[in-house]
Amino acid sequence: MTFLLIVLLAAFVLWTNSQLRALRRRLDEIESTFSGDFARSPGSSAAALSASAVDEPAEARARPEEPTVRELTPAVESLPDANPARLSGLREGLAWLRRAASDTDWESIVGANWLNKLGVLVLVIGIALFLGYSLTRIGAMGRVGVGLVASLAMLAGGQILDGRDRYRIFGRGLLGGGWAALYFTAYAAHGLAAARVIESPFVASALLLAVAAGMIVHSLRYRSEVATALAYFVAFFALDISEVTGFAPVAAVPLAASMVVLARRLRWEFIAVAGLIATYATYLIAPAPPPELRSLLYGQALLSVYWLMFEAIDLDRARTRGEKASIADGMFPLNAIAFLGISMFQWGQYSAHAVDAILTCSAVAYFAGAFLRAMLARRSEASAKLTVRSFAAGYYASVTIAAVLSVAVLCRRLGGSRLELALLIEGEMLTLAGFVFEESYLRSLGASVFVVPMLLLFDDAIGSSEKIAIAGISLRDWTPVGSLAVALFYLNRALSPRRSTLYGYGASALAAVLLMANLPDYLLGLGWIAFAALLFELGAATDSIEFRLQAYVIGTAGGGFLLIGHAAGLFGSPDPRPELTLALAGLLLWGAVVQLRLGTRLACGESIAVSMLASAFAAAVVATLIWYAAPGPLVAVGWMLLGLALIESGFLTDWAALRAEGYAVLALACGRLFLANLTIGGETIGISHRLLTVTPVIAALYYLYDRLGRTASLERWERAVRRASLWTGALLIVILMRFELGRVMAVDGWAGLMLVLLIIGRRRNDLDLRVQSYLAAILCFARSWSSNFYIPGSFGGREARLITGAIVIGVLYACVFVAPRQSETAPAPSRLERWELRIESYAREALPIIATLLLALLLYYEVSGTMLTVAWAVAGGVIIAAGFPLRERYLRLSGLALLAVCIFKVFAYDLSQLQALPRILSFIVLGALLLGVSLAYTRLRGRLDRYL
Amino acid sequence: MTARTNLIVVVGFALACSGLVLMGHMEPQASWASLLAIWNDVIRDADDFGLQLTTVPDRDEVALGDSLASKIDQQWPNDADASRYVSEVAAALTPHVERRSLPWHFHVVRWPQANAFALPGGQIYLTEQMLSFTHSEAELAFVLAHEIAHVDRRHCIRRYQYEVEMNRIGLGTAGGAADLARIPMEIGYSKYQEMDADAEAARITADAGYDPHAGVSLMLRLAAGEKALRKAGDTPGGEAGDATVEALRDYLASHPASAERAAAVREQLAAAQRRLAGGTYASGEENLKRRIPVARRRFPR
Repeated sequence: MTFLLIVLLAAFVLWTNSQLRALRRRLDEIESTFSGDFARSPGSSAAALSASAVDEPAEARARPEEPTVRELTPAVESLPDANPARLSGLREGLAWLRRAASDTDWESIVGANWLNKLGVLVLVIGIALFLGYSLTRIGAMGRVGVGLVASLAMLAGGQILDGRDRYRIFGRGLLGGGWAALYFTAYAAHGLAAARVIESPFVASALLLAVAAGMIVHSLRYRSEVATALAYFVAFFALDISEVTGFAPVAAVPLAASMVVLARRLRWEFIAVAGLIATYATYLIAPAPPPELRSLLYGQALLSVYWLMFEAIDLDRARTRGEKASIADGMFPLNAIAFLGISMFQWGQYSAHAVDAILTCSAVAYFAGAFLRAMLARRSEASAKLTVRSFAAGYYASVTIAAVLSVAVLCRRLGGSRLELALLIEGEMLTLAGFVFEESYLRSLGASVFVVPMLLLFDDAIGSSEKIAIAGISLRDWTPVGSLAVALFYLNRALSPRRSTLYGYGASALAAVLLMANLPDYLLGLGWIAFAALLFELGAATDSIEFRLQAYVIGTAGGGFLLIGHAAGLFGSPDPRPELTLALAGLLLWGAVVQLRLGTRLACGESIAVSMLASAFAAAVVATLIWYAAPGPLVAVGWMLLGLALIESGFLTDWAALRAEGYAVLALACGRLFLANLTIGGETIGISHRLLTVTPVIAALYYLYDRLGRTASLERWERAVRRASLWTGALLIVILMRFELGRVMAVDGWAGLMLVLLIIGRRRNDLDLRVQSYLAAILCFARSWSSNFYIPGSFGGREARLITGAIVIGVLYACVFVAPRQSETAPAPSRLERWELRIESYAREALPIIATLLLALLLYYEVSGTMLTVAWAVAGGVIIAAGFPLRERYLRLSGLALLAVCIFKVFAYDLSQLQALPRILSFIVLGALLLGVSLAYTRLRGRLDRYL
Repeated sequence: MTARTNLIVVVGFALACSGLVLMGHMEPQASWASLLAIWNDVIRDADDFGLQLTTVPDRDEVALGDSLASKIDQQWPNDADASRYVSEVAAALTPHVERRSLPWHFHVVRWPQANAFALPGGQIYLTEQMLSFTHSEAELAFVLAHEIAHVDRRHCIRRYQYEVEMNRIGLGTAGGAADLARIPMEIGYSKYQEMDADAEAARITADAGYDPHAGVSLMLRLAAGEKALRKAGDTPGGEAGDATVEALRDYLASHPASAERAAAVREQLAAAQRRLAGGTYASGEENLKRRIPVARRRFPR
């Protein structure tokens, strides 16, 4: 094996030598080319280039070559007598030179540098394997001796070659490998059974330390980070592949320590990072330690030593690093990931207590590290990049890890309220530290920690129903911790230098949740409203929109919950005293309204908007209160009174929104009538409760119509309200009559209403009232036509039907004379009014026609079939006769139409269906009447125009 | 008057009315019955308008009733003795209706439920169970008068009216479709037809010399078998919700609740107390048992 390695090494050396010769040859060619071209140019760059290329080692040459060529080009172009042909050749030569130099570079790097290192690596591995191999002919001393000789030979060779510029890199590789081999040989002298020549662990350790010291010393002399790193890697690799591995992680400690010192001393950042990776990798790759050492303490102690070493060098960097980023910036995260990752990987095998203890220690260590970093960090870091502030020299990541670890420990060790309390304390400490040191990151970290107990509290709020008693009051078990959190959040809000709103909103939200958890459903709305009142006062006193906004949100939620709960009955347990709850809520809301309207502390827009919202809630709450407090039939009256109060208050304060609420409540009262008043029973002194409860609402509507009519300047929407109140009042009267008088007798009431409305409409010159009268006439006609001459169950018999029909018909005829011949209202601008005018224009003509139609129908039902024609003819004659003196053309026309029907009937029906006497009578009476009418028309022809 | 005076008057009036309400016996009730009643009024008026213009002549109605009765007679066997007795009782009622010229026919059929119904043209059916359910001849008379009132008020013919009328001009199918379209409209106010028929039945029985209160006792016995579903809401929303459910149930029901009908009849009789005073009204429990009409013999109580 060793022979094979030596052969391979020799072959590698020969190959390397041949490559170096080829390189030399090419350089000679370059030198000759440039010497010929630029012989006449004294001090030419080509000469300098040639000398430089020959004397310098390949690695050193690679760097200056490119700028030298670039510098050469302007020199050539500046020659005074350079002819174009020669210049062209020169350029081609330079291009070739670039290609050649590039190829040579690659070769030189691979050949002289990489192969050197690879060779050393392989050789050291071979030595390590040799030392552990059980050769029968060579004892332990022999193996150690061979290893020692090989190591020293490499060191000596490297030392000799290092003195010659040409072989310096090669020599340094040998030096590095030699040291690594020597180190492993020293380790093997005790650690490997096959090569154990030193029995004492102390001596062995001393020897290892001595070799490590040698490395350091030597590295300090050469200052070659690459060579030293190579040597270290050889050593680590040798440890990793060794079959006797119980001590490998231990042996890695001084090795890593020596690297750390080197990195610290020579500012070799790469070697520090590489050492970190190699050290932890050794721990992972190395086989399990002997059984007697397989304990958590052993493993964690080693990891802690590793962590401490690299943390130390990172802390040192925190003090001295510049602004420029470097590979060493990754040391902190790598160290943390490796330490915590490997630790967690092995924790699964051990007890929870031990793990908790280690977690705690780790958290403390990171807190300490964070503290040290904060102390060592330069002030300029405040403006540095986040990565710098977090990892390289910054404390952000360190304190974050510490916080996370401590949260993890707390979560593992504690539960329930204790855990929430502990987390709150941790979050608060971080936050307070942030305030004290004016570090926003700490405050943010504290806020992040607060998230955990908040989530736990939320989980408690929705999942736990446990209760505790405090001062005799039964509360949810998480209430004390939740209250503490609220207090801490408000404290942080107060301490926050920029008045951070996050804590303010969080505290108020949590307080609202606390109320929700501890108050019965039916009191929650009131509780929120009261809380909102407090926040509002606070916001007003401190001129803080934040608290006022919270008050608005919570107050709105409270009002909504209170209303929905009480109105829809969504509470789990019904409110035993809903009147009291609602009364208190109403008082609070009205108090807010009064303060908002009277106080001048708030901006006008905010004051108006919020007072509108509060008063709307207050009105709704009071309306609900009335529902609970008043007997069912009186709720509508109560709402009506509330509506009037709001409307009058709106007029007094000149506040249109309040009036709008009043209109809405009044509309609600009207709607309520349909639900609970129009069909109720009950009476007092013979007056039905229907009448007693509906008429006040109707009176209020007419009052509103009058009240709005007295107001000089009304907005368009309030003019619409005024009109709506008039129409609603009339509609309610019609409906009240329907239920008070019954379906069939209502028609008489409607007829009376029709006449009254028409008379008042004419007196007040109110088109709306007159149109209502005409619509009532249509209603009377429709009801009479369809069912009123069929009065069922009338113990009054036919007389009742006759009286009912006669009243309707008589009122209709009376209305003909009351209705205006032409509209008395000036042309109105609105479309609705134009429609009303159109209706009125037909009213005078339509009224006698529908009256005559109803009369004919009544006669049809009341007069037997044999005398119907006679009855209709007489009625027609009377109508025509009345139409002349009354000067009602359409009255006469309706009478004429009735006579026309009679003429048709006598020929179509009476002639064939009636018996002789009735038939004869029909013809005679009809004929006589027709003659009489004709005579009247003949006599009055001259005056007819006047009657038209 | 000033606006303030008007306000005082309105508020004072409201307070006075409220005081009066509080003084009296309140019967609070939350239901959308008022809206249903208004809706049914509108629908009924609209429906009646067309029906009044297309009144079916009596002879056509009678022909239709005979045709329908023949089909029923084939399905359900007729109890001849019972039918005879019932016809004799009804003979005292028909003189007090509007359509006295109709050929009234009364049938008692064997059917497992207590029921009574009427067909156009004066065909009245009563089941044996219904006959057994009555406790007196006055109650029987009320049942018969109720069905007679349906015919007298043309409730029965209305369901076929457009078809019969359109048949005259060869468009019977279109008329049938119109009758079908009317059915959903009539669902709403058919209850009011029942109430109207009850009111008429009370008058007819009284005019015929039967105790008009017998109808009330009959209704109350029927009501005992019906569950009272109405309940008062304990919140404003619950009240409105319960009322809506009740309104839907009421709208879809073909008959009003028996208790409601009994109350309506009682109210009507109370209103007509003066007119009824002084009259003698037979109950006829024994007459019913013996199947001898009051018109033939009066048994002492």
